[in-house]
Amino acid sequence: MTDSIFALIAEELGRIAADKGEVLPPLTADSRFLDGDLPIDSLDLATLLVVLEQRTGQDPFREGFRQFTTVGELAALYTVPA
Amino acid sequence: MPVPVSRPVSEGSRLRAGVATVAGGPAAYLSVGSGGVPVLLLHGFAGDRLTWQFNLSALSARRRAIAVDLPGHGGSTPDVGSGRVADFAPWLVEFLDGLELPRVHLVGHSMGGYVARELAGLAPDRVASLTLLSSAGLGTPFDLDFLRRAIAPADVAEGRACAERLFAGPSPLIPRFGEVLHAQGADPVRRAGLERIIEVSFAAHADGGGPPVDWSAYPMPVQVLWGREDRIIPLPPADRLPPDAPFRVFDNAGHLPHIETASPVTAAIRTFLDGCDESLSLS
Repeated sequence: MTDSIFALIAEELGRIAADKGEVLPPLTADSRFLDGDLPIDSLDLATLLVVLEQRTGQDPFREGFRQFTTVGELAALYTVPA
Repeated sequence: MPVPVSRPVSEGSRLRAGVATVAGGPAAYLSVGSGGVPVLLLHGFAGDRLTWQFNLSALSARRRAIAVDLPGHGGSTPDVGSGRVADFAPWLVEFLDGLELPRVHLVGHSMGGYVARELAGLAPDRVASLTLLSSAGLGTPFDLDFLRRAIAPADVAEGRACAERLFAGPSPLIPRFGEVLHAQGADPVRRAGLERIIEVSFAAHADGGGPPVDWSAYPMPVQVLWGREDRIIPLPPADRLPPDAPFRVFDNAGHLPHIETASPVTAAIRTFLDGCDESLSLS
């Protein structure tokens, strides 16, 4: 499941970056969101979380914010048992 | 057995950022969803439209949801005018006109609640309902010293200490909030605007005791939501609340219930807005 969530995150991040005229560098599970690895800011990150909620029907933050700094950590929050 | 994890999102329901041209200065906003009676979300002092990021998606299930940066905040005009937050209300009327929104539900947090009530009084026919969340402007005491510290933390550590005071307990968001408060304080234009708002709109009223709100001037449905452990604007006494209005208090929440207890707060807003829509369609 994490693989398909990872692909979803990559797709949406690519779209967000493209909207700004930026090109997303190759994404790994260790890519960090707000530390300069990726051409996104906190507004883009909020956009990503809203779109992921719309596309997966899941809100991992329902019970409060959960910490994540990398793409892999975010993907793990959406993992559901197959 | 693969579990479906992805469903398409129509372009109209994607979260998007925009800037509206308003005579009083540009208005930066986020918008998600479409249709229905839209809901307009107003952030608190020194906050911005991103403070609604945990609520926007769920609020847009049956309507367009819009979060706007108030003057002096986020990406909107840095010009706070006289510093009277009541003057943000006519600016918001222009914003509603610019987005061609004849009528909206209003949700305001803290200073945004004060502004929401001013807007509801100024243009009652434009406001379908009013949700006041941890709201300023009810004539109750608040922590003025905190506001003064929060707009100019000497270093990141002090920013973090301010952030801690906003929350009821530990939160992974506190370090980030502290960094943002410190960065805002280092911007002289931003800081001057926030200082003016404090001195003109808040300083004289910190002890409470102002005249009570005349709720008869607000014909729309009103609800009031609060965090039980709010240390910035403590829970208001019953005589400061609109008579017969729902008043809900959220446990384990401080001054940011929409962030600390996002799920139940969003649910309370949705239920209230849906109920107001039904009454409107019946009348």
